[in-house]
Amino acid sequence: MVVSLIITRGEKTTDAFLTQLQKVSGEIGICVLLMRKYDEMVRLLAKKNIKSDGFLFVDGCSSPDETNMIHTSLDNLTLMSITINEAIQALPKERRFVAFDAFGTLALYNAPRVVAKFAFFLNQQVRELGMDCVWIVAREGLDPELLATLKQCADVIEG
Amino acid sequence: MYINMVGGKGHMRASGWLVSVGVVVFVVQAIVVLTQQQNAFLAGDGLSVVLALAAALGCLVVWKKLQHAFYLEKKGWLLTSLAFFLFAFGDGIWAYYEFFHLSQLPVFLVPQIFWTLAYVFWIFGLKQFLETRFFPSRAPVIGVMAASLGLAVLHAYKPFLQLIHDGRLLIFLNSLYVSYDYILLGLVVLIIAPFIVHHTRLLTTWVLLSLAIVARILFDFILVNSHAYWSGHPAILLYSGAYVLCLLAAHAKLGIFQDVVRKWLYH
Repeated sequence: MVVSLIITRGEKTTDAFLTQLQKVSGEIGICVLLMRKYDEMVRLLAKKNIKSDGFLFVDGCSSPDETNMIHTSLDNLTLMSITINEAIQALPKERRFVAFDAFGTLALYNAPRVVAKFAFFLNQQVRELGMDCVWIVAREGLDPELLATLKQCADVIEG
Repeated sequence: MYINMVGGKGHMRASGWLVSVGVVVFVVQAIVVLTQQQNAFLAGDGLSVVLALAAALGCLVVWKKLQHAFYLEKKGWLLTSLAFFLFAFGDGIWAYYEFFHLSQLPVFLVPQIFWTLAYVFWIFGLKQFLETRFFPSRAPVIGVMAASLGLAVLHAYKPFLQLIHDGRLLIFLNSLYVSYDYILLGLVVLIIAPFIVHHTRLLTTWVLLSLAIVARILFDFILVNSHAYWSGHPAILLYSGAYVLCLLAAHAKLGIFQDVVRKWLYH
């Protein structure tokens, strides 16, 4: 169980996310899309030859739900917590992960303090469940308090 | 890796059977209650016990299916299941004395004690579901619960004074059901609120569970405020309909990602 924080330049967040998914290609886990739509992400994954059959997508950018994609909302963190929780329940417990493509995006729709609280909530949840978790954040414009919370929660910090 | 999910298919099948039984029993009950009033008390009270047991088992299947790591939600489904077992005991004792002794007050307050305990278990079960969620602020939760508790106390106040005055405990206990309903209503508002604007497939479980509570609330209002309630009253369909809705909610919960799991299984 490892919680990773990847801090990168704004324009590199998608690449950083794809690099992380490359490492878990063919495995089963949850991809929380906060910046790219499901269709777009699936195309990018295919382009990079990343097997995404085992990925369950939680998408805050598009609707309605599809077979392995469930819609959520960027400004409704309660709904997002329910969605992620339900999605995790569908995964086998042996090995599973949850990855966020651009966690800082949530601070555009919610107060940074609330997003920091949400990060802490997620951190507790993944640790209880023994899951791997990856947060990708853009360095520019990230709220210091949110960044501090993410750093405190992470086991591994890159960038 | 996929062994756990294969196990899930068994749970889904068990839940599917329970739903089939529940729906058939409810349809039979509705036909009898609405068309043959002379037998309505048999179908009304007797079949409610079957439906309560089916709902209890349905929730127990979800409890069994959930991994231990989701202990709060697991506890929520277990408490809900226990609540329905208690409702079934209460309903069963009530129905037994009504069938065989033609009495509406069977053993002194025993069904009422079971029903009261059932409400308490149900309330605590729903509370567990809320505890698994992230709330940006506790203020709305506290506000809604304070309002519902206030209404509950307000409703119980007059019967309580009456109880002190004339000692009629049964009337007091009956009126308390509406107070429990106010608390349940508050919990329903909090459970359903995140889905009001955003409709996803997760909505089904919580809407069904909420409708079950609303059906029970309507029944309790009719029971307490109607002076012409009799065994086999059509309102019993709201009472037993709540069990069917809970059964459907439990089944929907098991089926949320069934299509995805199936895809993984056969990939």
